Amino acid sequence: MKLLSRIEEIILLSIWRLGDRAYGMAIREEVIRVTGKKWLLGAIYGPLGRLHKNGYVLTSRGEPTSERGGRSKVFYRLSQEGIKALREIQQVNSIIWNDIEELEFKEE
Amino acid sequence: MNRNTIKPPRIAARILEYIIQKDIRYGAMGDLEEQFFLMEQENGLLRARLLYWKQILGALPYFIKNAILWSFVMFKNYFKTTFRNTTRHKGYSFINLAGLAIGLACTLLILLWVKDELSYDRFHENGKNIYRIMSYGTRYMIEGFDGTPAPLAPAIKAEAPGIVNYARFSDVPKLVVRYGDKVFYENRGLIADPSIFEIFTFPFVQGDPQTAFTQPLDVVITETMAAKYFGEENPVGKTLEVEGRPAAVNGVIKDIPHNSHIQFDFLTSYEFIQKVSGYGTSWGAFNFVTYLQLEENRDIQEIAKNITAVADKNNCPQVKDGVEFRLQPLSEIYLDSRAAHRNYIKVGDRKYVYVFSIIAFFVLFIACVNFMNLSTARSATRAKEVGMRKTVGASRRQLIMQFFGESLFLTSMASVFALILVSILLPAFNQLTGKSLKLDLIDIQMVLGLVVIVFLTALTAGSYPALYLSAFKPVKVLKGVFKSEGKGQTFRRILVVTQFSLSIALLIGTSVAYNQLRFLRNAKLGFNKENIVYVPIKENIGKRYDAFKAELLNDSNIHSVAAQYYLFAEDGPFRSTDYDWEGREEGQEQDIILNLVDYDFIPMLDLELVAGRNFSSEYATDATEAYILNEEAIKEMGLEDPIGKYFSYGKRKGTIIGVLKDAHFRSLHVEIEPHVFFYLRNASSATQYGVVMIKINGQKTEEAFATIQGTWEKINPISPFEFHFLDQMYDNLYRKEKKIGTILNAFTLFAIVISCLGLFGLASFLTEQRTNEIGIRKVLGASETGIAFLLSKQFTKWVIIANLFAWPAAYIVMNQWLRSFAYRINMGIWLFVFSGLLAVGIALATVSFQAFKTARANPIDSLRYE
Repeated sequence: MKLLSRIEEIILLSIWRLGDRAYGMAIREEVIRVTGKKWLLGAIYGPLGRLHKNGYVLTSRGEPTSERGGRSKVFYRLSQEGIKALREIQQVNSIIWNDIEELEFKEE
Repeated sequence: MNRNTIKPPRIAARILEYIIQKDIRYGAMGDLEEQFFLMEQENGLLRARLLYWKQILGALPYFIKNAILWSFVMFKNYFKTTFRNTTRHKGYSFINLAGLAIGLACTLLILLWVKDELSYDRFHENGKNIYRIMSYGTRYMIEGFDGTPAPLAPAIKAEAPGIVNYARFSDVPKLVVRYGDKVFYENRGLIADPSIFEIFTFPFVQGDPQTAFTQPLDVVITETMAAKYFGEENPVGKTLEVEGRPAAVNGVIKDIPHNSHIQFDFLTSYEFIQKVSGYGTSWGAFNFVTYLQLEENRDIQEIAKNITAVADKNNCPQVKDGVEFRLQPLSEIYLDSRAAHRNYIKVGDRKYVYVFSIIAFFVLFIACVNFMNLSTARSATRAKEVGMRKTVGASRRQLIMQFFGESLFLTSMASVFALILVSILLPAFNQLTGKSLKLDLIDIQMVLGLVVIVFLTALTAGSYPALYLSAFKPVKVLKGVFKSEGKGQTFRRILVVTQFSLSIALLIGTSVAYNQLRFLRNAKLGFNKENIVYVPIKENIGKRYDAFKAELLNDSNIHSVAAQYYLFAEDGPFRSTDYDWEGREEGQEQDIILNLVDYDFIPMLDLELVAGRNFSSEYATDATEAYILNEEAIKEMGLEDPIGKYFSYGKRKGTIIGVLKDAHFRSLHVEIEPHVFFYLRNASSATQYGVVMIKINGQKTEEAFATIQGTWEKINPISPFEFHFLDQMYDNLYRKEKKIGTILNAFTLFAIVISCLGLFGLASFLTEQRTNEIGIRKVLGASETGIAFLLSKQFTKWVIIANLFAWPAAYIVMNQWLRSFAYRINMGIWLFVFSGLLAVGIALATVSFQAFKTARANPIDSLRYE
C-alpha cells in the first residue's frame, strides 16, 4: 500500500477529530488551525477527492440548507481502509522520529 | 437580505463545475457556497465574490494538472491499443491505410483541380463590379452569346445610368510579327479599348496606360513577349513590324496570370479596327465582347433592361427582332462553357467542376466504407476489449471517443501517405489536365482544407464502428457468446452494395465516354481529311499564290493544292444572313455559313456533289457569279431543283451551280448547318485567316514536306514556315472531352482498386471465420471448387445487386453528358452488361483468390483452428 502524503494525513486526522461534524468547511478550518497556514478550499478538495477515490473516506449527506444554495452538506468519515492507512503512517512516523531526541538547529 | 437573490459568481461556479472531479463536486460546490454566504454576511458581497473567485482560480492548477494527467494516461493507453491492433493485423491495417490513402490522394488531386478552376478572375481589384454583356434571342438561336455591336458600349455609357466604364474586346487573327531578324507568328493578340487597364487589373511594368495608345497601331506587350523580341533591350519606344506595318511598343505589362479568362500577349487599341481589321462596326454586327464596370450595388436587371432599350432606340436590327441583353458577373465567365470560340478567352466548364467534386466524394466514401466494413467485421476481436473496458468503468462516451480517436489516427497516417502519393502523381496529373497545380503546404487554405477533410473522413469512417462497438454488453461479450452476426452484417451488406454501385456507375460512365470519343474519332465526316496539311496564307503566299501552287504541283508527291478564306472546321465560322434567292418569301432570312475556296477544294476533300458541278476555270463566270451550297442550305431555303437558280450574297449576284452532300465540316457537338461556297479570286485578301491545304502522298510524306518547305522559303522567305495536319486539327476539336475522359478513367480505376481492396479484406476475414465449417465440409466430402464457389457466392451476389442501383444512375448521368453532342452513340444495354460483368469478374477474382486458398487448406489444420 502506498503511504499517505502529509496533507492527506492531516485531512484524515482532521476528519477523525471532527467526528460527525466533518464536512468541507469544517475540515478546511481544522487544517488551517493545525497547520497555521491559509488553505484554499480547492487545495483541500484535491486530496480529499483522491482519498475518496481510494476509499479512505466515506460520505453521507445532511439536510439541505439555504446557505448552500439548497445543497446538503456532505459529511466525511473514515473508512476501515482510512483508519488502516492512518495507523500505518503513525507507525512510520513513530519509527522515523523514534531515535531523534532533540531537534535543534545547531550552528557550526 | 434575501438569500435567494445573492448567488456566487456564476461563471466561477461553472468553471469549477466543469473541472472538478465528479465524485466530490456536490460537496465542494455546497461548501464553497456556504463559505460565500458567511463571507458575504461578515465582509460584504464584493469581498465574498473575490474570495469565491480566489478559491476557484487557486484550485485551477491542481485540477488542470489532474485532468491532463488522467487524459494523458488514457491517451497513452488508447494509443498503445491502436498501435497494437494495427501491427497485429497487418493485412487489414494495410487495406485500411492503403484505401484511405488512395481515397484521400484522389480527393486531394481533384480538390486542387477544383480549387484552381474556381480561382479564376479573382485578382481584379474592381472584380465584383465587372460584368460582361450577353445577348439572348430565340429567333437568332443565340442563347448566351457574348457578341455585341461596337456602338453599343459608348451609347449606353452616355445614356444609361450606373455605368462607370466600358471596354470592348475583339480577337486578332494570327499575325506575323517581326523585330530585326526575329520573326514569329503571334496568335495571342487582343484588340481592346485602352480602358481595359482601368477596369481590369493588368499592371504595367513599363510605360503608362494613359499614353499607351496614341497611334492606331501602338501595342502593349507582356514581359514574356518583350523578352522574346527584345531580350535585354528596353522595349518601350521600339517599333515592331506587324504584318508589314510599324507598331510602336508603348508599354510592357506583367504576364497575364494563368487564372485569368482573358489571355493575351499583345494588345492593340480599338482604333486598330478601323485602320486594319475588317470587322464591321455597325449596330448590326455583333462582333465585339463588351465588359462593363458598374457603380457599386446597382440593380443588374435594371441596367440590362436599359442596355436593351438603348440598342432598340438606336435601331439595332437584331434587338428590333427580339434580341435582348443581359449582364453576366465576371466571377461566372470562366466556368461558362458557351463562349469558347474566341482565341483570347479561356473557358472551363462548371459541369465538370461538379462532376469531379462528386467523384472525389465517391472515391473517398468508398475508402471510408472499407474502414467501416473491416472494423465492424472484425468487431469480434475487439469485443473482449470493449467488455473489459466497460467492466472497469469506461463510459460509452469514452469508448466512442476512443474509436473515433483510432480512426482519426489512422486517417492522419493515411493522409501522410496521401500527401506523398499526391506529390508523386501531381506531374502526371498536371500533364493530363494541362494545368500547373502545386501542392502548397504553406497555403493556409490548403492546410485547413486538408485538416477538415481528414476530420470528416475520420468521422465518417469511424462513426459506425464507434457506435457499434461501444454498444456491446460486457456480460455477453465476456461470456464469449458474442457473434458478429445480425445487425452489423446487414449494414455491411448495404455498404458493400453502395460501394460497388458507385464503382460500377463510374465504370459505365467511363465506358460510355470512351465509346463516344471513339465514335467521334471514327465518325464518317462526309469528306476525306487524310494526308492533308495546311499552311497559313501570309505575306507573299497571298500575293504570289498562283506561283506557290504551281511550284508545289511540280512535285509528284503533292497531289493537289487548294486555298480557302479560313479553315472551314474552325470554331467561329463566318456567318451572314445577307442572302437572296429565287423564290425567297418576303421577310424570309437564312443564316448561312460562308467560305471562299478555289477550284481544287471540293475534289481534294472528296466531297460529293449531289447535283450540278464544281467550280471550273472553263466557265469564265464561275469566278464572279457561281455558288455551291450544301443540302442543308437548300432544304432550309426551301428550294426545289436549285441548279441554275438565282442566288446572291450582298451585291454579288449569281446562280447556284452545284449542291454538296451534307458533311460534318465542324465539330460533332453541333448539327450540320447550311453552308455556301464561292470562288476565292484573290488569295491575298485572305491573309488574316486564310490557309492553303496541300494533299500529299501518304507514302512519301518526308519528300512532300521537304518540297513544301522549300517552296515556302523560295516564294515567301520573310515569314516563318509552319504547317499542320488537318486530321490532327479534327482530333483537337475533342481535346477537352479526351482530357476529361482520361481523368475519369484514372479515378474510376482508383475507385475500383479501393473497392476491391475492401472486398478482399472482408472476404478474407469472413472466410477465416468459417474455417471450422469449411474443415467439416471437406471432411464430409465437399470438393474444393464446391467450397470456393460457396464462399464466393455471397459476395458475388452483393455485387450483382449493386448493378441494379448503378445502371439507372449511370444512365441518367451519361444521357445528360451525351446530350452535349449533336451526334452521339446509343447507350446500348451491352455497355451496361459489359461494365456489370467486368465488376462482377473483378470482384469474383478478388474473392475467389481467398476462397480457393481456404478451400485448398488441409481440413486437419482448419479443424484445429479454434
